[in-house]
Amino acid sequence: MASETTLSNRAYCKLIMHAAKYPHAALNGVLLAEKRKLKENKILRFVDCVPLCHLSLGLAPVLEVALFQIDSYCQANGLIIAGYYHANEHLKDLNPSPIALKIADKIYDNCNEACFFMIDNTKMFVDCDQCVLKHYTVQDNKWKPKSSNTPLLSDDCLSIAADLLREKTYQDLVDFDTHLDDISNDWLNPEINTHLNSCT
Amino acid sequence: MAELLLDPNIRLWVVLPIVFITFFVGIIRHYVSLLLTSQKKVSLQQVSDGQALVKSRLLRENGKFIPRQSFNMRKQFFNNEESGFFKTQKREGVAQNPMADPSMLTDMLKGNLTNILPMIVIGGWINWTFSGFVITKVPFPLTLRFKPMLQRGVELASLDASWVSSASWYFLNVFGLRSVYSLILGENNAADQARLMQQQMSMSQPMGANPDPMKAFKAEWEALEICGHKWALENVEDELIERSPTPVVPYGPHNFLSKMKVK
Amino acid sequence: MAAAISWEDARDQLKKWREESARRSAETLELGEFVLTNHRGLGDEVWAVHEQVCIAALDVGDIAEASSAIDALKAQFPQSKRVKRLQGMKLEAQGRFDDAKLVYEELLKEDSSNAMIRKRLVAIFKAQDRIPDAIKELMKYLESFMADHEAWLELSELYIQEQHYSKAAFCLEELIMSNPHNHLFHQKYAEIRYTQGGTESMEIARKYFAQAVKLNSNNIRALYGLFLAATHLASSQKGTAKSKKDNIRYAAWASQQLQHRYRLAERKESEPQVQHLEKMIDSLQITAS
Repeated sequence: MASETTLSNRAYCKLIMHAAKYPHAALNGVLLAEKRKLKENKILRFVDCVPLCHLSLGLAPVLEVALFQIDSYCQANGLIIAGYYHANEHLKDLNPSPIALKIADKIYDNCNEACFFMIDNTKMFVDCDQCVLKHYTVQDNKWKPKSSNTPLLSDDCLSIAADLLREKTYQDLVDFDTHLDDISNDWLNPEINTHLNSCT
Repeated sequence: MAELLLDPNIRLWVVLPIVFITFFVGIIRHYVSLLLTSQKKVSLQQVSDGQALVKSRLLRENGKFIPRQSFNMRKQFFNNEESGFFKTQKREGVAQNPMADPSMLTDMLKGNLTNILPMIVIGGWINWTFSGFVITKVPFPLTLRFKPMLQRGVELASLDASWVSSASWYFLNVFGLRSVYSLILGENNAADQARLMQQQMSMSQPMGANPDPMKAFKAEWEALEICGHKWALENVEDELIERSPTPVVPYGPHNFLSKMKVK
Repeated sequence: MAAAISWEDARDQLKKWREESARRSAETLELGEFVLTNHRGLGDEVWAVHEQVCIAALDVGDIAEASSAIDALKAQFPQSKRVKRLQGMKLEAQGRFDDAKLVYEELLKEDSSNAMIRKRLVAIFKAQDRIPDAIKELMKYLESFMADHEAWLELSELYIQEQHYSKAAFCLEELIMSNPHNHLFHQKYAEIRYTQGGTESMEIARKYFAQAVKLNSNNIRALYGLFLAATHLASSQKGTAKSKKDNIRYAAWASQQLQHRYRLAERKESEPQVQHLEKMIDSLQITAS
């Protein structure tokens, strides 16, 4: 198991924006980690995030297409799909749904250091005063919540996320569902990436 | 022919009063009809019967778009000898004569009350009070054919057709003021919206006042019984490929087809 | 936003959203408040705007705003069922589901054929995260209102959430029959069948993906689906040589269509996405042969 797990600002902000764009829907996405660091130092550092679906999470084709393509992107860029996040439709529901667990298992098959995050909808505020993620890792072949004292995020991450939400940048976020509606939308969100780079 | 001159009193005491009377009667009628409209009650049973019939009709028409197994399953649901919907559902044939249904009768009465009755009463009264006046003139010449329309109540053969009599003026007002009403009472006024809502509600039951549901079930049963299933998607892939041939891929290292052949 | 557009535009925009029943609650609320500052200009439309604002306010959790809208409506229509329904929805938004249910059941006693109120009962179960109960209630509703397409669609979503794919497929069949020219229904049906798995379902999925592409050649999801389904079938052990050949042909066609579309959509400044697509096709092809 990875000794340390962190999310870059880019990964966390995209994740938050995805949740902010579709407050009424269940949604999911994957997190991409640096392969080299994971192999050598056992550090799970998520550098990017690809939002996947917000329409029908329970259906396989979109997910398969998305994972194939993201995997190909990862191979070209020295990354690996090592994380999955999921938000339930119901505000107070923080339990991983069976569908979420299934997908998380698939990610785990792909990378056995993988972890999985549930988004706590009740913690979503415009001010982003706390991290909304609940961290799960595999222990004894089961997904268990992990309580760790080491912070997932860097210090300035939450304030950047709050700025983005106030600016309503999230309306331009593209997830895989939007990409399939119009393939000229890039699921890597290059515009948002440049915007984020200018913030930090 | 000598030009006719009208007494200005006619304008004051005939033309304007007719306009005002028709206008206000229209307003009053609008509000009275608002008061009198009763909400049409549809029983759950009626709605459900209507919807079952719609569904069965859709199955007959569009069943070819679903797989055979699914089609047969639905057909069984409606037409199964022992447990089919059309076989087991029993409805009492309600007496559907509109004259026998008191609520329908009152509805008709109310319609008459608010539409026809005022028309007759006010029309008659105006005819009686203001009969025989030539009250205005349309500012363009008209042919003789317009005389019975514009000069009701004034039987003068030599009068120019562009003169308008009082009775005709009344009718012109009744029909001409409609757009004024919609301006004043609002295009989407409360009454209109209420009506719209009702239409939406009863749209789900397209037969309206459905005649005997048993008869409709029987007819639908027969129609469905002789309806077979021919899957519209049998050869859809080939049709698709034929219809839009492969686009020429202008460049690219991977040409899928060529690779396939190598393998 | 409200300051930037004129009052008339705001009113027309609201009307448009009302007719489309678009769920843009935050914007609706903003525009609605702005429009209602001059409620004389609305005439009788003002009540419809009040209702719209009320529902939007409930959606974003602005109970105070919703209450004032309900009060205004109640003063005008003290007996209206629609206003009572709004009151019920307010109770729902406050989390007082049992009270809301009482309101709705009261209303249903008066008029059992009121579809909107019966749908609220389903919504309550959904809000309580009791999906199986919501499904039961919705089925009860559909027994009477068999031709309500939106309800079938909702039921299919609930079934997918519960992973009852064959039942979800049944719902989609209803939708296809109600509107056989809507490519989205065909596509979704195929997606469900694909998720179900198994050779037979996969073949049906392939057919319906193809039908969706036939109805709308720009449906990318369906093109991908056609490709995936055909590839799966080609790589499965079962099936005759001919069907295998056919499947390879279909997959080849779909992949070329996809590549073509990606080339058309490609933008200069971004990384060419077609390369990921090609890699994906390649990797799948290895398993296929």
